[in-house]
Amino acid sequence: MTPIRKAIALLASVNWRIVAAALCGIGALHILATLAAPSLAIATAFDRLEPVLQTNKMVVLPEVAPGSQPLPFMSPSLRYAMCRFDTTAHPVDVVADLRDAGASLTIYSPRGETIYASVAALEVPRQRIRLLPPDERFLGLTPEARGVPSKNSPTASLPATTGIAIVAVPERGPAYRGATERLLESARCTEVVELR
Amino acid sequence: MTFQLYRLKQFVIRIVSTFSDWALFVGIILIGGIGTHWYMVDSGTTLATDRIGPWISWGEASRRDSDPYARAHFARLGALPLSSDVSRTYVATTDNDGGALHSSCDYAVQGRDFKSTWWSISVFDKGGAVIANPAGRYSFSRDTIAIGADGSFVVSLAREARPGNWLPTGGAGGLAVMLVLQDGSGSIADDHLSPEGDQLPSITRVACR
Repeated sequence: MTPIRKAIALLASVNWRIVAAALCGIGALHILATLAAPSLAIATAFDRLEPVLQTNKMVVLPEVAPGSQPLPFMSPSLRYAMCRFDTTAHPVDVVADLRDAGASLTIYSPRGETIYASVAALEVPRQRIRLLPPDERFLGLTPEARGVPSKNSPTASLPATTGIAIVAVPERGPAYRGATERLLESARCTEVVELR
Repeated sequence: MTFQLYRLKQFVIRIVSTFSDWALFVGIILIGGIGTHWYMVDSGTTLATDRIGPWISWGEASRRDSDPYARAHFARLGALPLSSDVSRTYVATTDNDGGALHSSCDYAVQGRDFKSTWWSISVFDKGGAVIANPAGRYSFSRDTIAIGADGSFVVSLAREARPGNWLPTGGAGGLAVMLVLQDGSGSIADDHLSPEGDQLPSITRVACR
């Protein structure tokens, strides 16, 4: 028997319906596992940060160093202030000064998707993001609706129930440590009880 | 009695052979499905990642419209990268020759200043944790790195102190080098690293112990 005939005989003996079923099964399991992975992850970033953060309060984290790194692959060239927000009771304002190149404000959903991201820009160095509950509840008249100029008009208003706001400021060396610390401490995450 | 024993034996053989066929079938599906999922989510392929030399970037990191592989990758990793709308994060776990980065070797990361408004280079162990070292040095950024007059820089990854931009690697084992490029002038588009734009640094093995 020639090798070609042997190969043909081997191929003829394969149950192609079983092979097709196996391939379909592999594909279905691959898709299911990929789609379910975010829900099945043992410790997502949100889970890891939950014990470190307080609700609707900006927390300045220590410099990234061994033992004080809440998440993997956090750039040690940045200092971080974070807030776990919850708009169930009231809207939440997140305020950050983004004047230095490298500074950023990012608002993540609990699943790690970016709701809002902004980096340092000279045009709008101070960002005020108002996070609103996504339901249709009446939150009161805005200052503009009452004919009063707003003192704290937000840069952007976004619907979000829970998530994490992260302010990152570049660590520019020991000489700038105090300024960096002040920038982080000036970041706010506060409930807006009354629209002003 | 002997005949009954023979029939019982045949019955058991039939059951085992049927179940082993099914077990083999299910085993192939499990290994194939979970294995391909693990590879796509852990290492990434060109479907979900951009690869430039040793550098890998998940192009849709943290975006609301990110693909399922990027979502699964960062959920499993437990990391929160900056959105790829405003920055690009590249991670390298191999040198330019394809050898895995390891703390038993010294490496030179050579590049030129980037056009991005801010950037940083950091070294981690393979799990993404910073490496403990007496110098407390884990990273360089545009603000802290020493750049030559011609705009070039070299970052040395080594256990022992090196002159210039030295990042200690201690006894971490496997290493991962992370490069973050951030641009406030607008979205970092896919063609940001064009021939006219920034070029990513090379990672060269200098010596091994």
